[in-house]
Amino acid sequence: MNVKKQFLDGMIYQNPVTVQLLGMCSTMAITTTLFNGIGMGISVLVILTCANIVISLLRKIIPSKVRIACYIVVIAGFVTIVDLLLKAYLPSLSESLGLFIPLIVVNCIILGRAESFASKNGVAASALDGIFQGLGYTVILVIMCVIREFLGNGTFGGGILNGGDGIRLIPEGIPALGMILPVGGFLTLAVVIAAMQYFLNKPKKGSDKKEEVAK
Amino acid sequence: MSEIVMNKKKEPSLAMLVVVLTAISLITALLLGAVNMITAPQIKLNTEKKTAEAMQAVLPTEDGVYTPVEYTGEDSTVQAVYQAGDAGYVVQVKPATSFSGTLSVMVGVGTDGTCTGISIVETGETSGLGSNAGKPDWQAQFVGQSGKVSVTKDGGEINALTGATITSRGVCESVTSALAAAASLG
Repeated sequence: MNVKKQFLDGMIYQNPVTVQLLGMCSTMAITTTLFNGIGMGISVLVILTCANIVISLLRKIIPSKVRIACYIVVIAGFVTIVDLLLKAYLPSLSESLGLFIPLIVVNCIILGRAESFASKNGVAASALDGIFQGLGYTVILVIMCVIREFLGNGTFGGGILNGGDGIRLIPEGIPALGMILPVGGFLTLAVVIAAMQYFLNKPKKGSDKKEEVAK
Repeated sequence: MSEIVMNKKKEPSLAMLVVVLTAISLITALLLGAVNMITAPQIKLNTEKKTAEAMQAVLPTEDGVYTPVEYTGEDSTVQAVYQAGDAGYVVQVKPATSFSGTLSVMVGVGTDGTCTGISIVETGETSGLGSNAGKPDWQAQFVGQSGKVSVTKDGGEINALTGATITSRGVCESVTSALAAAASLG
């Protein structure tokens, strides 16, 4: 078990959103205020970690023919639990995320990690994978929220700071509303992925060329 | 390696597939039942508290008692009508027009047939645009409205929210429906 490698994989090299390109629907849909981004990120982190632990525990019992069905039952169970808990104890978050909490069931990050990691690795490693992948997802959500909220609404920390209105950085009327509409989601995500890929591929390209030259 | 081979030999057993999947589903169902039992009272409390707060906000009564009234009119968007003592009616409307389909508005109607205030009970409108319908400054312009309420773009008096004309129309429709419902009850 390599904690450092798992951490770096989750955050950068195998980041669920920018490298694996999973869970893009929720990434584009809910990243309009910082509160939404952090709330959604933590919800996914908790569900992903729990689902990973259970699936890893059951990996030797679950027959491979019905594994997807089993994974989905486990995931749906945790999603419903989190949904009910949010409704009961954090109604404001539950309201602003709305349908996107139940939709975590079909968020491919969770099924993807169950299939590609938890079903092949031990419990501790799977738990760590859930935490780090969840963190990687949360970080991207937060980055997108900050960009979109700033450009689209002119504020920072909406839903949390300054009584929920956020701190105003651009006077009202100037920000480009489109940035918090779905189209802004596509634009921001594209820019974030492009930036990430640029930095990831920069050193690799150099070494590839050297290899080619050597050949 | 030998383990994997053995596993593969065992797998075709249909009974095993059924047993495992059933067991997992059963355990999950039991867990969900338990969580539901714990959270259900709290969720009910939250909804009741929210509804009560919304009713107090749109048409305050001294004792805070709102009696449900049966509404028999044709408008299917009217969800519930409450009599607020002598002050008038409070009507909950789920308008046909909304951006996300989950808008629900509480409207207070005074005895003179004008709107005394509105409050958004449930909304799934776009955060930062349609969700601004919850802001008191915007809601204030509905106070005193009567008859058919609509946004300026449709020839009415209500200034629509920036970038959320559909939500604004939904709220206007709700107020119109509520006023009509209260008028039909007298």
